[in-house]
Amino acid sequence: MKFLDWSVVVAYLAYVIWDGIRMTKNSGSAEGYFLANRSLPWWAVGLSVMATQMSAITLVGTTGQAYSDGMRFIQFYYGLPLAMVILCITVVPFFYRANVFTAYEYLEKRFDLKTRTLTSFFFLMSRGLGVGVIIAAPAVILSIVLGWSEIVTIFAIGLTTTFYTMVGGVQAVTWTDVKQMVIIFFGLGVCMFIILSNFPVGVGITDGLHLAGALGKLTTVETSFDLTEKYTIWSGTIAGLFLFLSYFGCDQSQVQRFLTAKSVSQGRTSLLMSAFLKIPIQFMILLIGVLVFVFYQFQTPPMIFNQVQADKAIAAKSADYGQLENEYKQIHASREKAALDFISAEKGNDPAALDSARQKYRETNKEFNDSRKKATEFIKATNNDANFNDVNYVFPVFVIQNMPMGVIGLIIAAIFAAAMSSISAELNALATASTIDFYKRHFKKDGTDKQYVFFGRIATFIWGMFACVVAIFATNLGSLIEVVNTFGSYFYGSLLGVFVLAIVVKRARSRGAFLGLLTGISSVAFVGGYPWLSAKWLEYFGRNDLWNIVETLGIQYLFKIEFLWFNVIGCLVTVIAGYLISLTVREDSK
Amino acid sequence: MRICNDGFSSRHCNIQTMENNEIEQKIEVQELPDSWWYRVYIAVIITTILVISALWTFSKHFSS
Repeated sequence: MKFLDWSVVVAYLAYVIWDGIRMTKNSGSAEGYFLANRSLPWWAVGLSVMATQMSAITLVGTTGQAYSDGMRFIQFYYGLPLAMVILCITVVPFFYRANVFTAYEYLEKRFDLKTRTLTSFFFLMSRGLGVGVIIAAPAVILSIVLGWSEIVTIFAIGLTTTFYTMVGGVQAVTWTDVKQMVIIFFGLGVCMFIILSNFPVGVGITDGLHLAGALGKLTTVETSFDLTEKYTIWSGTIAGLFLFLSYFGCDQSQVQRFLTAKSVSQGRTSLLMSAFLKIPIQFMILLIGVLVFVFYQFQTPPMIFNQVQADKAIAAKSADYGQLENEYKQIHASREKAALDFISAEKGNDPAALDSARQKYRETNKEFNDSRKKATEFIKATNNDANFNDVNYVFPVFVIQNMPMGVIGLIIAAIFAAAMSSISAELNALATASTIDFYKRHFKKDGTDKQYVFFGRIATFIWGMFACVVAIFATNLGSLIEVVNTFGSYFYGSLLGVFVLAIVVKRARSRGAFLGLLTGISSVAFVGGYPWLSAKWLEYFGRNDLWNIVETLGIQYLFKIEFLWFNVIGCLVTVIAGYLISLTVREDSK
Repeated sequence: MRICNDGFSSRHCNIQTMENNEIEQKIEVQELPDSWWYRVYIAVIITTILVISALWTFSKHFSS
């Protein structure tokens, strides 16, 4: 990175801090600090909702995924618009009219204190660890790309975000989110324009899309109904619907966004903004990944995008690495020729020649993929790292190596912006739940606004530091990132189940809700954790007893279900168990 | 500034003036009728179906 790029990144960080400090004057009261006095316009709240959901790992991970796997990931979002409509009809007016600070506060009004405290506790647990991962994931990538140490990068992201969130509260979070979204959109737009202008002479965007399409990278609808497939139209519309209902309707980091709106109508409009825009935006991000793939048909991509791991392997086995790289470059050259032949055939009128060129292009691409797979296996074996995967490095490395001066800084600032917009909302939500659901409810019922705001600021700082420490550990224990990432899905469905009981099931009682929640979480933990438990059992006792039980019962399929479906299981079990238990209770005694 | 919600369609606000006097101001909150929202929800669903269909067509066009 050149001086101009560093200037752009530093200017961005300085501006964000200054902008956050400006918001202090509007954050004197508890309602001002936590809910912006319910005064924000729908478009600001709507952009904040989208910014909160779009973390840095969404940005770099999605482009990397499109590069390697195509656009199938877009199906993940097909359930989102329907989820937003359901939330606009149910949750938004309920929470807004209940005049609550947190989603969990409503559960005390409907059920009892212990249900509220338990759900809030689960939120703090899952989000507290999750925000550490949200910091760790981009920090690992940016540290390699920028040449900083991981700890410096973690604190550059974590401390800056904690500072402005602590000072300015939800107003700082929302208004910086708005500006961060502008930076992200602008950065992505510039990036797309430059990729297209760097295609070789005679190769246009439609040619590039035909290349990607020939390799199945533009698949946007997969209709097979297989619960072990991660991205299909069914997992997106059904399991995704449950996930988004839970995330936008029961997760304080999102609920707090629409509670800051001026009215129920404005809160609804802010959510519907995502309903209209989320799929097109995600399409644009994935398209950038596909265009990076097309760009690399005509430029040799790095064999390994994670340069630190590549250097480590070179230091250990330089000759073997060199041989693999030579093969890789030769195969790339033959794929490039096949790609150009395919484009020529596309423009001609000979269907037989086109079929032949397409076939040849697919074959050379398969050889290329095999060559890269061989290199990846080599890195895994040489560096003794079975979890090695460099997909998330594709986009940042592409930017650093191919973008002009100034634009690199802009895109790195956009990645920072995506990370910070999510982290700030999470920290603010964690601080709000800690203050309102625990400090105010259990320790200081008659406190003043000043005391609550002060505690909110302290809680933001503590959660920020906690997240940075979790992030440091998460970077050292690669597999932990996956564990903590799926950790949230263990809770989401069950939390949604409690809110369904509260809002939809009139017969639901507090004991039913409380025990239903515990049953739902236990059932998901059982489905998700049983394979891990049986593997550990085998490791320690040398016997496969636990898995044998599953095989005897013939229910192996249940434990191969993809994590998106955990949301459906958790919700259904909670609602059914909660309802049945409620039938045994006549009235709630509060 | 402290705002307290005293109803669905209006809010009373206690505003701290420069002279430290609290004055009460009533803010009317405009809410759109449910019938309007139902039309919006139908529009969201129809748009989503159209977007998914367009994506499917896009994918078919460039994959053939």
